Amino acid sequence: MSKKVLVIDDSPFVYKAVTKALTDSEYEVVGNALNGSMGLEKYSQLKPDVVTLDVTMPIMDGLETASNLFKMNPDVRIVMLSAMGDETLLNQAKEIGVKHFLTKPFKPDALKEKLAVALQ
Amino acid sequence: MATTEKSKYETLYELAKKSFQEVIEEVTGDNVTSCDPFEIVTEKQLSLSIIISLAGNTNGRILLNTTVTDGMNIAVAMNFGEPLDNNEDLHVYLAEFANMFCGRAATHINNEFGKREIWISPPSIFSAMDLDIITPNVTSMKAYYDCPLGKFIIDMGFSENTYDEF
Repeated sequence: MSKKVLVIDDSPFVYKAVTKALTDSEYEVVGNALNGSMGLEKYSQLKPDVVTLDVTMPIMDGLETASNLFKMNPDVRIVMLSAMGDETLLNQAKEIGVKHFLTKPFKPDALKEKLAVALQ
Repeated sequence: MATTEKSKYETLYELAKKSFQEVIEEVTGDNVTSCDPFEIVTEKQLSLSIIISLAGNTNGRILLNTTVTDGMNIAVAMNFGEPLDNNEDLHVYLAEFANMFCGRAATHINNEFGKREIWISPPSIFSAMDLDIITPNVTSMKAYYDCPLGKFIIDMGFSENTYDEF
């Protein structure tokens, strides 16, 4: 059975790129959200196996979203997928509990590998 | 870390150039290096400028100047080499390219300075037949790229933030 992926990112490009990258793989993109607040709703509705999460988003950014996702489900699997990756940001994300990071632009194989590790 | 304003801006400029080269390489697999200055000729086609604002200890903006044709080459490369589903997607892809490039630049700059030196805003895209964007009161430096994807000019403008909260 395919693993369900939720994409939380304010860029419609990322939803398209992730969907395209995961075509014909063991992953299925089941939805996308353009900000963190919408992402929390979609997470409750769709119950994905793993979430790809942007950092810089309107309304609710990726760090706050990750924090709320961990409150909803301490076992949530998150891959932070961001153009930003400075040490300050990574440390903030790690403190919240995020363990998996991928910097944009990404290659399809790199994304699949990161999702597989997050789901282990 | 840079000690004078001039050398600080040169550091920012070099890190932004490095970021553009890295992102182009990751998207296309091509190594690119900057070249001698040139002008982008936009005869019978739209010129394109993508603007990302910088905020933090250093203010400013990064402009990526090209043509619609060469911008489309970037978008196709980002679409894993396949044509876009529709032409309206061009701006979506270019906005994300600019976000990736400037996000990478912010990452390198913040790591270099050991703190959050700059933060980036969402990109804005302008296209027109004859486009000239002027930003007063910034120290501007340009890098020129003539590569397989096309011709690109990166125009970086920096100024010091005068607000205390940063």
